[in-house]
Amino acid sequence: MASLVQQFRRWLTEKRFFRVAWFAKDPKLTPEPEEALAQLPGDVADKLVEMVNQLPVNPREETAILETLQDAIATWKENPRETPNSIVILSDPVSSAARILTSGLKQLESGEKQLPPVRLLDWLERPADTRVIKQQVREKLELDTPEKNDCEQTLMVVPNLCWCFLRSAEGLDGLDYLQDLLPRNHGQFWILGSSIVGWEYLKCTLQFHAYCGDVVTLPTLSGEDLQNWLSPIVKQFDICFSDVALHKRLKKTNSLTHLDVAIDRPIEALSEIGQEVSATVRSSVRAVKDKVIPEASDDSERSSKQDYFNRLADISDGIGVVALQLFIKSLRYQTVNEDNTPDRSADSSQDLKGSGDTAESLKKQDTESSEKETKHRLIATIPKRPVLPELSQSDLYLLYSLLLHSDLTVDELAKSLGDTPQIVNHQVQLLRNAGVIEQQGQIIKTNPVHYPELYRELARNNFMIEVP
Amino acid sequence: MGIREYLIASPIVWLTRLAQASASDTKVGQAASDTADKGKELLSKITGAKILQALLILVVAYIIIKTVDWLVIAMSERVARYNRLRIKQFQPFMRTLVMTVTVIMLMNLFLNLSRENVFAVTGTIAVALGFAFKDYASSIIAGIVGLFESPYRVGDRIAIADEYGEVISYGLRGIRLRTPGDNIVTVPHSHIWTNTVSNANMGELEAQVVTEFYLDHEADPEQVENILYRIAHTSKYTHLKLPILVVMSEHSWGSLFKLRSYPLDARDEFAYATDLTIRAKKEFVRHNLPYPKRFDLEKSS
Repeated sequence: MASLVQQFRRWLTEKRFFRVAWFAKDPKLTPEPEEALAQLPGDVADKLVEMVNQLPVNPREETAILETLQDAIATWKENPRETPNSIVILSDPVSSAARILTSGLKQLESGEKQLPPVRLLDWLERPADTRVIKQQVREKLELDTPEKNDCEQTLMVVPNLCWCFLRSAEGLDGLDYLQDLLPRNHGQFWILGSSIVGWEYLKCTLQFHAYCGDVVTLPTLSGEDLQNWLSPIVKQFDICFSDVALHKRLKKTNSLTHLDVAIDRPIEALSEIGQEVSATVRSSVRAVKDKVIPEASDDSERSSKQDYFNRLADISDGIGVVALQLFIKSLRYQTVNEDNTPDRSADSSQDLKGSGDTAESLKKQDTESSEKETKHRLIATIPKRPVLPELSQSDLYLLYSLLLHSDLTVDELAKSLGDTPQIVNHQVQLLRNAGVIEQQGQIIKTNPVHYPELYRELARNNFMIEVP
Repeated sequence: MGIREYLIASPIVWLTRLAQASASDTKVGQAASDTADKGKELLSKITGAKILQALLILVVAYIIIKTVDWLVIAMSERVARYNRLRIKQFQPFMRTLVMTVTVIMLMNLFLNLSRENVFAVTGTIAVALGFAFKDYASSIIAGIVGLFESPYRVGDRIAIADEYGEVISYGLRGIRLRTPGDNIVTVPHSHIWTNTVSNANMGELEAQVVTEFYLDHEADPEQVENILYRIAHTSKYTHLKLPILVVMSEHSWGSLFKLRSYPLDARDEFAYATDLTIRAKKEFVRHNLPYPKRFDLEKSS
């Protein structure tokens, strides 16, 4: 059974939940953070994407799942008749609940020797025809095989509950079936993964929570968690974290030239300035503190790194995939002086559009500049959250639908909205141009970098989302 | 009195009467001149500069009203949806405030507003309004009362004077409604004195939408009820935290089902009802649920 989970996990990693490359391959558009990737030399960008895709699930999330499952399964195994025979694990709609859950299960399998047999609903997407969900659930979970169901204890795993329904008249039949099934056999322990938005919906419409045991939400990540998680990338690329303390910036007259401020985009400009100011103030407060209490302070690079990751955790709401995208977005390829401080005057990122020629010229520059004790390296600038474009009421309905189901095809989205696929497709393309959603092949998903702001926007506009 | 005596006395009486008449005329003249003096006293000197100043005040007031209107509407449409109606309530108050200040400034410019003069002016205005602008005055007073009683507010969806729509503006004399057909209807405030006002959302963002479905007696009511609940639960417009209810009644021609539910935004009520109807009809067809026979309908009517 261990091989089944492992096989499924490998498939997920390879085919579905690649974090950046999946969207970076989109030939027409370069939404955030691919825009930042496009500014890096081709080989650096490729290597970065490769490393990002190889990153394991964040250890904090994995540990949280592992501990929860261990406790819940142990309690159930001791007294299956009296304890709830299911647990729900919630994650953000942009995080891959299935991947985190299967990773946790794999750890569980390797750690526990007496784990009951596992039956996994190994879907990688929602069945194309929602009318067959019920039938497929029965087949995949072998619920029609009496000899299997007579087993004493079994673990039933549904990695993503959001793939088991579509918000349409007949799209909830599969969940009706699951709902009836859950309390029936106490010899089966159900592990259900879901997004928080989908779960809220199921609570209100089907009262699904009444049939389930504990509901556990994945923890948000702190700056330290992110720092540990991303450290392989930081080490590999020797990324320098620029200090934005005011007194250090004042020494460099051109330190603010990379501010992306344009008068024709006032909201974006204000957001840019606001984020720049808040980061500078925090960094300056830390710098002053270091001066006043020198013994409490670490070295400058370490402090700027901490500032950076704390800010990253703050603006990403502690969501791993959002933080990862904002991290990539903040990377610049710059000339660095001997003292490791980035020199914007020699910034060549404007000329670097990822072409092979420019990469070669960069290497040349590197060689030449090494003689002058300067080199090119990746600099992590202040991480900033992009401004959410102005959204109409109709856009909000569409985006809520996407968050509700985690990801959808245009046809499924049209069914979920009760509109025609043609109308929905027009809207999808407009939102895609604005960078709010991403599309690869048939699958549409919200862009994680906009998720925290979009979540708040939906909550403010009466959608069924818990106000953060 | 004899003729002789009369002849002797008449010139005296005549003279006396003439003297009396002359005295009375003098009094009338004096009263007229007094009124004229009071009028002069009341009206201050009208100069070109004052007229220019008055024009400036009117222009500034107009600009302020238009700016406030634009600002309130623009802001209310951009903020979080549940704050939309709250912000819109500023509009009538600001309009009334600006208009009151403008009138006071103009009166102050052209009239000498001593205590006596204020009484005289208000008395005169009251009489003039009473006769000439009775309905106008009634609407203005109703508008001021309406500000505090709130039978309707900007953003509410109301049925008034055979019209239904969203209140888009609250003026001094009346309100403006945008009907579902996108017509703008002006209704004077005085309507609230004697007529009913039906308000669907009363300052809230949500308003209940009742969608009706007509089916034959043969249709299984339990199945229809389940379908209608499912339809409401799966509509993109439905506010799922507010109650959803299916109500059924029997008629000679068939069964009437009413689906009572709330959209996320009252503005979507017609789109919502359409969405529910279309999707319910598809399900009725899928489950072969019969509609009332046309023959029966004609019979009942």
